Amino acid sequence: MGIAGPIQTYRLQLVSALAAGAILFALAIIILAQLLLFDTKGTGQFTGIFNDPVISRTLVFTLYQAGLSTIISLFFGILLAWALANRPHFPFRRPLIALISSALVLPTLVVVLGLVTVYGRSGWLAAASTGMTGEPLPFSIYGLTGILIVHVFFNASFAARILLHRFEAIAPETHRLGFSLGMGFIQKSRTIDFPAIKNTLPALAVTIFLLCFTSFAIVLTLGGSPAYNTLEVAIYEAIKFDFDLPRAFQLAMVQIGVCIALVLMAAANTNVRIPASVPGASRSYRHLNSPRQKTVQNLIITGFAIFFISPLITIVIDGAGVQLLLIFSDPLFQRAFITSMLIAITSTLLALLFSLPLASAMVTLSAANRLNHLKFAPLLRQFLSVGAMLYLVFPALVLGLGFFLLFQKIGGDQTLWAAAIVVIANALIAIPFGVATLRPAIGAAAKRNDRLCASLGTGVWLRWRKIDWPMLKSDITYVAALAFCFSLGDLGVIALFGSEEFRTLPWLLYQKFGSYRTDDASAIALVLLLIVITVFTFAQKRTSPKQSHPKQIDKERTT
Amino acid sequence: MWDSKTGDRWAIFRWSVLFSAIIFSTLNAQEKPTLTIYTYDAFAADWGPGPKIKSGFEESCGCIVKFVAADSSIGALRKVQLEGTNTSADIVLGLDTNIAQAARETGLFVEHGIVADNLAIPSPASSSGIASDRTIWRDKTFLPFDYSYFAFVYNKTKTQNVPSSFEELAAMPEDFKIIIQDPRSSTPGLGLLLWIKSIYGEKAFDVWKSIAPKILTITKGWSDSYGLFLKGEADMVLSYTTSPAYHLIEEGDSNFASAVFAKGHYMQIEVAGILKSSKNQKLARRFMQFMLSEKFQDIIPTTNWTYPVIKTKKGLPEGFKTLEVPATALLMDGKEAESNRKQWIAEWLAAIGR
Repeated sequence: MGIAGPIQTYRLQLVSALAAGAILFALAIIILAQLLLFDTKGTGQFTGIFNDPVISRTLVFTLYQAGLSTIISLFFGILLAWALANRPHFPFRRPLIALISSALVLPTLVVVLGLVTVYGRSGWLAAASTGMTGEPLPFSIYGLTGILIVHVFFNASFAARILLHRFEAIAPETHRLGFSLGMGFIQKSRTIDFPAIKNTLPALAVTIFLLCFTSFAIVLTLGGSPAYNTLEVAIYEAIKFDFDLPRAFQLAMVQIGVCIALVLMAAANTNVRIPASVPGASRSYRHLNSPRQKTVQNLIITGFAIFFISPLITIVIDGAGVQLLLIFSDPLFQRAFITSMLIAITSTLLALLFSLPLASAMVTLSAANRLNHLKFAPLLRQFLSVGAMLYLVFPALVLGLGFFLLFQKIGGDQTLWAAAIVVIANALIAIPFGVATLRPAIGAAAKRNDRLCASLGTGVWLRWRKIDWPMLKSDITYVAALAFCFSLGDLGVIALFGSEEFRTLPWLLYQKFGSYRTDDASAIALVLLLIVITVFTFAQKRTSPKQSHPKQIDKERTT
Repeated sequence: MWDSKTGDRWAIFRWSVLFSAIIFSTLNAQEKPTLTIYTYDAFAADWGPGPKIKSGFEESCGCIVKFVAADSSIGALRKVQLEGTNTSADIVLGLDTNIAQAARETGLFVEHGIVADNLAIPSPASSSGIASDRTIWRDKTFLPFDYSYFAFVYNKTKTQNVPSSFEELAAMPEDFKIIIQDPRSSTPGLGLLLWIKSIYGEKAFDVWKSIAPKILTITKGWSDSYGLFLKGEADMVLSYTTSPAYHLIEEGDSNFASAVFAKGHYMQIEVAGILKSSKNQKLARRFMQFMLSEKFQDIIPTTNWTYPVIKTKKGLPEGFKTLEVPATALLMDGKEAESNRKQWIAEWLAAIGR
């Protein structure tokens, strides 16, 4: 290895990041061009999009369910975070938080299957209900109720995880002050608790709204009727049911339009960062709660824990046993398993290959003593960050449609195309998360080590191996775990490109679930669940306690 | 440096090479020609006609038959459209006379060139102008392989009060639920749409609106619905008058029945067609001929649970005699169905959209 000075390294870093950014932009332009060029062939696809009653009804319903999901998720998310923050010694609190954090990566279909087993018309709850009152359940898991339940499952957990971080950032002194001032519950909420989460709420709300707005797999499986279609599902149906590409195109345009608006709104607010580590029960101000508050808090935590864990338990119960052994001898499963693993690994590597240089270069462009003096530094940084966030506005199905039109034009082996598209789409979806997690970590490493390394004249490779890597290891592992789990559990573009020759595990699960072969489905779901939980726990273990905060470790040792 | 860590890396590399090798090994070449047939899932399933028909045809064709299952019948057609001329399909099997015209208009199919004059398909009472004798099959692109009548199937032990018309269905108690299929993806779903249309005409929209609250869910394909029904999720499922035969013959369970609707039942004739892009035209034609043979037709009743389209020596199995045969069978002309399909589906979407 030649000896490269730090400045050359930074330049190299910048060049590779710009290349990565350029590729991301180029791909986006190619896909958009496919959609727009397609339009010129038809006649006036743009006109009358909003006059079409089906499109406008679909748009209204998509917005409506996303709005409802966001409000309910935030409500329960805030309650849960508040309760957890106030009950630091709740039994199994740490594993519970770890489990709730894993909602981010749980494959949607696994959760849907579990929730149907609990809340379905012949599910556990229905059995209990008819057993006790003789009455069937007053609601059906199919339709809006089901969509909302699953959205709340995922997003209330997500919100709670982020808000808990905010609540715990309140200094214990503040709580004690509030206590000694004799603040009541309402007063305390208004002056202490709410201000702590106030700044996070808008961005969190927009993020959840975006996730629910582009919801696909959940609505596809639980929608139950075309009356409950989101735009994503409508795009899917336009392609797969009607083979009506102009219609798919129109829907895609509406979809992209709304997503761009949402992402701009989110970008205007602060970024939502997913805390990688599970906080320990370090702060204790539980004695500051009245007994009634404590009861309420315990109830909230217990209630949500039951809601969250019961569907997962049903998967374990239904999936374990003979089916699990049988499924492993099923050649369909074997092939899907290998396909899924290869796809998840490849797209994880691809996601890291893009996120790392992008995040590093963004740091390099703003860090003192690096390249922040470059004339175009702010502009380049903007270019990179837009490139990194670009694929938040391309929902999976729109991406799939663009790729599909490209495939029709170029032709070639279908299975190969399908594999490549799924790998690329899965990687692209992970890049925004990757950059958002890595950038602050790399920034912290730069701040801490740059000067020391410069004065010692540490070589690039040595510095990476001995200084930066140990510090960044946990975050990189975390991003890799996220990307891997996203990809492994994804049911998006595969719904368009899945075939006999090309099946992933979620696709196979969808097919088995769709044909109500629940034994097989539960076994596949259990396999997915186990892999995801294992990978995610492994990644979390390595990130907690953070090696990058030696002080915290010291504190824990002394206590 | 050759420490343990780099060793690990090599191990990972070797594993990934091995994995890819496994994947590519499944793509090995075969000597015999393969006849690829796209169909709906229930037809290709282990318990469906697929396996028996495969081995039946392979006995004499010197080929390998490969069924590719789409999640619904129309889904199989869409799959071919998505794949365009790259498709590996030689035949699409499982469309019906209602969607055949749409399939013909894609221009992807060729004429079969077979004279089918031995068919025994009852003529439906004409509610919409079909009076022609169906024993001579006139469609030059698609050939029939089975028929049956759409009906709502229920389990007598669970559902005692059964409607005998769509009006009665709408008036059932609130918790009475049915499962139907989507007319955009499934031929039974489309059949129900045409069933209601051929009875109620202009008033179909109101009928749909009135039964919408009874619909538990709308699935892509028939087997999704039926599976859900068997799990006990609904009182009735859109299926066929012949479906109870399955439970009677396979399971010895006589508790399943189809609800008789006084105003008649819509008929379904399922068909298959050869693709223009097929490289096995001769073989495909031979399969179409085989489709109308006694061997194929005798497999149909107890695997696809529908009626065969010819009278075979063996005849129908015992259990079929217990089935309801509609006094009035409805069937729309394929061209009429196709020219209105999009508009009627839009109307349907508007009616069930709450």
